[in-house]
Amino acid sequence: MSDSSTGLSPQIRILPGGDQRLLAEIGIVDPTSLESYRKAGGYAGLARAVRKLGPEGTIDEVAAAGLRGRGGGGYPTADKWRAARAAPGDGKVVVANLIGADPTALGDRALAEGNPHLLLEGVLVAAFATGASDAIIAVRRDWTVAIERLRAAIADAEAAHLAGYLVMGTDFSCVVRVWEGAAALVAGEETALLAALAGDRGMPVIRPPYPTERGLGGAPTTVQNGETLAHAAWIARNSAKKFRAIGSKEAPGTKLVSVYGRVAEPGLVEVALGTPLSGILAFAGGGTGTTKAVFIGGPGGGALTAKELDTPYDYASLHAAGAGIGLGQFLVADGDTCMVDSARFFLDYSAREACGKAVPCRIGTKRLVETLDRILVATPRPNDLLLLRELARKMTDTALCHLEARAPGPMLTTLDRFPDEYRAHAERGECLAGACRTSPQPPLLAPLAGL
Amino acid sequence: MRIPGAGILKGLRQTARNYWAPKVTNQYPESRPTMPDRWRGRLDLIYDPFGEHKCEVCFQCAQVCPVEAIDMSGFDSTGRRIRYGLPEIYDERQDPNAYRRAGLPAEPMRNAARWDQEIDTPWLHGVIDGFGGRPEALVAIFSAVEQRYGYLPERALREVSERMSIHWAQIFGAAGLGGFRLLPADGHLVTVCTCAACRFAGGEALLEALRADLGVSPGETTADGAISLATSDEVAAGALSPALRIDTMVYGPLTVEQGRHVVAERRKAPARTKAAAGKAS
Repeated sequence: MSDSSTGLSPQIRILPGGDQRLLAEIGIVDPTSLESYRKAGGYAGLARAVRKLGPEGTIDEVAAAGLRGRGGGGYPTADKWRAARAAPGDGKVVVANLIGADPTALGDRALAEGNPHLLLEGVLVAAFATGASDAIIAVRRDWTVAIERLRAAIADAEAAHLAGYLVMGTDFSCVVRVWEGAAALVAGEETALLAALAGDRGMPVIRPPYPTERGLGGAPTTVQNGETLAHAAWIARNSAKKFRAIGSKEAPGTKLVSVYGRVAEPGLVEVALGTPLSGILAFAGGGTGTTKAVFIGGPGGGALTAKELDTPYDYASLHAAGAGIGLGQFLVADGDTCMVDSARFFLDYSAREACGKAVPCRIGTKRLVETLDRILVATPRPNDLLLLRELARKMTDTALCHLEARAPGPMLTTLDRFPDEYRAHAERGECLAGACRTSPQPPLLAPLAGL
Repeated sequence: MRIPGAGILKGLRQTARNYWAPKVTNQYPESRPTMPDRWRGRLDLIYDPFGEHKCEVCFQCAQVCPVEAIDMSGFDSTGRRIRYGLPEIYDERQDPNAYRRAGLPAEPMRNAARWDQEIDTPWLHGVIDGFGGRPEALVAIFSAVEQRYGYLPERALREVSERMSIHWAQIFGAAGLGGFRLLPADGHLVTVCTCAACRFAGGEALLEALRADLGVSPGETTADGAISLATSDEVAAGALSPALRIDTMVYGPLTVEQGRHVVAERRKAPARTKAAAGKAS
């Protein structure tokens, strides 16, 4: 089930335009052929790192490029690698996180299916830089095409002495394997991923110690998003200077953005960080109808109004706006979309996907959904709007993992930017977008008498 | 009028009274109170005011219990039955009571347990041994089982636990996360994608239309047993949004009309039955 022109699953459509860097080779390079990838300059980056730069030099190069994690956290990649390299311990591990926690973020999937060798090269560069002898590529179990191609890519690379033992005739060895992971939101969190890799239920654990100190099996572990690793391979091949050529000063480079919702051409586009949001919208053929808001960063992000579309798409600006880069989710809502109901949708998703470990998350998300339900059907309690903010703050303060800390984001940003919609729902039972059923309904159950 | 020292006398009176009173502290291991023969203490799980369990069946307590004494079953936050099967499970005895206490009618158990699925044990052993029996392969083993049976039968999970010598609490805990079906679906399984991309592209209208057409809510099966309706965030439709999945085939992007048509067409085709699923290899 794959599209013949790009060799990708039909779920992934790559939009033309943008600043194509990682996506440039997809459709040109045959994902099943090592030769094809090498012809396009593949594994030159690994060769440069292994033969010329050395481990420290590779980390310095990544630091000079200013590469930051593309999995949402935005943590400087070089710092993480340095910590892993400095950590004492044998059997260090690199884990490529392709769990693609949110099913609407398809950047990692496109890379794994369209150019598996690029990902593998990134994994090997990271393993070389951090001194790891093992690497695991963790892929969502339902991305069967990606799993198959990555496995084939590893086998081919090992046969050509590009992976496995004594890479390129040096004394660097790294055994790479593919691991199928659960298809759950929480499984993309790094400590939960490590727990799942050990055969446990995928639940986050408290940090510190960070995985770079003590991770998989007690060994220093570098967990890195797949896209970040692909960028690292690109840097190793093309130099840090070229990497900084596009993107903003604080956050150079590009980011894969999945644009969905009320747009003419939903799909995946690669843009330079710092591109205004309206530019991203334009790559997707513009919004259908009047664009009212864009939800950026999925369930852990937030909403920006149509007036804020000149905000640059980078870590700092989005963070300041209450949203986040997340895994590159970019959902466009038009005038027919109710913001209260959308906030409820994202919170409900977080509540359903909660692993159940941290109480503020497990109970808190549920209470937030219930409160929004009351507001939606115009039977609010007097302090419900206050309760939303209070509970959201407490969840963020006491969070175990970043998924929990950011879960109230869509609700808080819509509450800030569309207070009228909340008030109309709560006070008059009216949906300003005209999308919801608003007839006051009796509560599920009257509170028990005598309590 | 204040009498100096009255307060002290008042306090001392209390002291004196307790000093001569019989002692209530038992010197436990040496002297024990007499209890009825069948007394085992009273355990109670915590309920919210609506009579719902607060237990999320996450198996954390069972996983850390050093003597593996805790067994559980119940419904997780998505309403899925986790650890279905044995009839004498604690929360099932308690569940109707909780409803009654909350003033709700005691509803019959959701998703009546069907735990009699025969499994092909040699095949399962082959799968497990193929992965070298490593615990990190659990998800892959679950995937293989789900591909064959359409869900994870309890007996298969038990067998995985035995074969791999992993405590079942860990097995069930891992199986409870990651979008696995834990109960069989009758007839064709129609899964409407509820991911954010599908929802913003109009997936809710699709679900509403199917709900009206089939006359069932997600999680239920039509009266003739031909179609089971479900929702999932994990169809991962992407550019195909809004999408739905019938058995393993993903359809999209769909208008409401197209969606209804696809489901109606599939309804005519014979579904793979549970018995056939068990035999197929």
